[in-house]
Amino acid sequence: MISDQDEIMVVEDERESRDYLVQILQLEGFKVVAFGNGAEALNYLHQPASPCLIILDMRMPVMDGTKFRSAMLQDPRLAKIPVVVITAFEPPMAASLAALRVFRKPIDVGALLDTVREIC
Amino acid sequence: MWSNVQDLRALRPVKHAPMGSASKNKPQETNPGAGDVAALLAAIVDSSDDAIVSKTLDGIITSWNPAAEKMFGYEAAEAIGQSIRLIIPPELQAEEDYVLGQLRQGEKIDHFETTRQTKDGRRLNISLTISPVRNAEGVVIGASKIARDITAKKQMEREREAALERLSEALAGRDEFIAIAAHELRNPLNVLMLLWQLMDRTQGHSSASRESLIERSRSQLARLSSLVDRLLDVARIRSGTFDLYLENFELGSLIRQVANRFELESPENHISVQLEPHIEGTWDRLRLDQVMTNLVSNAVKFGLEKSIFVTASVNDDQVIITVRDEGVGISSEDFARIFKRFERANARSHNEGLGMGLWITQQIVQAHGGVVMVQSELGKGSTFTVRLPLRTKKV
Repeated sequence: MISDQDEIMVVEDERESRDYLVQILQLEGFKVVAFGNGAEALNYLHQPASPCLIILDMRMPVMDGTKFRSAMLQDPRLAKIPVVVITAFEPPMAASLAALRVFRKPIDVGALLDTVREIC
Repeated sequence: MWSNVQDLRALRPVKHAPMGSASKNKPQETNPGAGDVAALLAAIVDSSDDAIVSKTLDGIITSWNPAAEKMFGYEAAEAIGQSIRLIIPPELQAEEDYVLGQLRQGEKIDHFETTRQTKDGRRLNISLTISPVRNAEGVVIGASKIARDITAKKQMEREREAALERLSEALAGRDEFIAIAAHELRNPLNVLMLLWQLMDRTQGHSSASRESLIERSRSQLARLSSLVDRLLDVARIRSGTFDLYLENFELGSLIRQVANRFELESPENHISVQLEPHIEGTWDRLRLDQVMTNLVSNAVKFGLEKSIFVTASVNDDQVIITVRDEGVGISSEDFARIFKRFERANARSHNEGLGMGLWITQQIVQAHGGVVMVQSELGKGSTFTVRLPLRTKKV
């Protein structure tokens, strides 16, 4: 069974950043599922699940954003899911990830929500 | 007058003798002014700071001025009649074959930078200008060589290059530091940004939840402030304005305070503290608090939420502090790097921090006259040991 397609997935290892982002998205009326690293998120996607958008951090333990994204791109079903990258690194480091948009931390929350509303 | 080897040889009939006496060796001299000119030229050669030497096309030395004696250590009497190869180092002997080849073709060699050897075996960097000497018929019969000692100039060039390299490394290090610092400051800034957005959206919610958000903002501000303090510490240590404020106190209570702080911060931190009673000594209290905070913080970060063991005991006139975790450990190739500035054992680690903690720790311990060491095995954990004199001497 494929889970809700209006669900947003947040993959971010820093607990506080993740919690607050999830709460903001929920207050804006979105369904949100969140994970602390790429491996847990990939596991969830293989259930299978197809969120409408993945908000992905880069530097994470166990499986980082780059490895998670390349695993997604190797699976035709997962490759179709749009990804927005949030990163404290310089944008060029995230440019090769075939992401819809790259947001640099501290995130412009208004612009992120605009992108989320466009897609979900 | 320089166009005849006989003339050149005549310049040195007596060591350092003026040309006046040398001209007696030239009976065919017809021009009454020629002797004066020759004397003038001989005086110029004798007083030159550059070695001026002449040789035949077989490389046999025919004249050797005082500067050549000073530069290469051979007296004129020793050098004249010998091969010029005398001053050429063994590995550069082929140069002479090339030089003689050029001379036979009438070619001049300008400012040829090479190495020559003195009588006592020292190597000199010299710049050579070698010109063919022709007889009255224009046939090349020998050569004049002017050698300038450029050892000091070469040394200066090497020093300048080394200084430029150090400068460029320092600049690259600074740029890297700025990039890492910006990255690390962005994370707490991001949390603050999200918190304020959340507070904005929760107006009208319970005051308890808003209180909690404000408290979390405060903790992020403290984190930012501590990152900025570390940046300033690095700057102070680097500029040498890092002073110790020494006082007498009991170290055990300081260690307990640090451990308690970490346990209060997070219930997952289990820190076992074993201390010898009454470890009295003279140290900088705030700096040792920083050392203990850095070491325990590392153990928490890399300890995989397993127990952390802190001990302190006195051995002769030293206190020995250990902080042990049973976490990820450090690989042997990372050992050398961890005490460097801005290095994490694992450069791609997800853990925050500027990677300066251990470097600052080491600088503080060394300022107290102590040492910090690490034992570790990948996958089994790490033990950091600090040895400090009980009485720190004011430097």
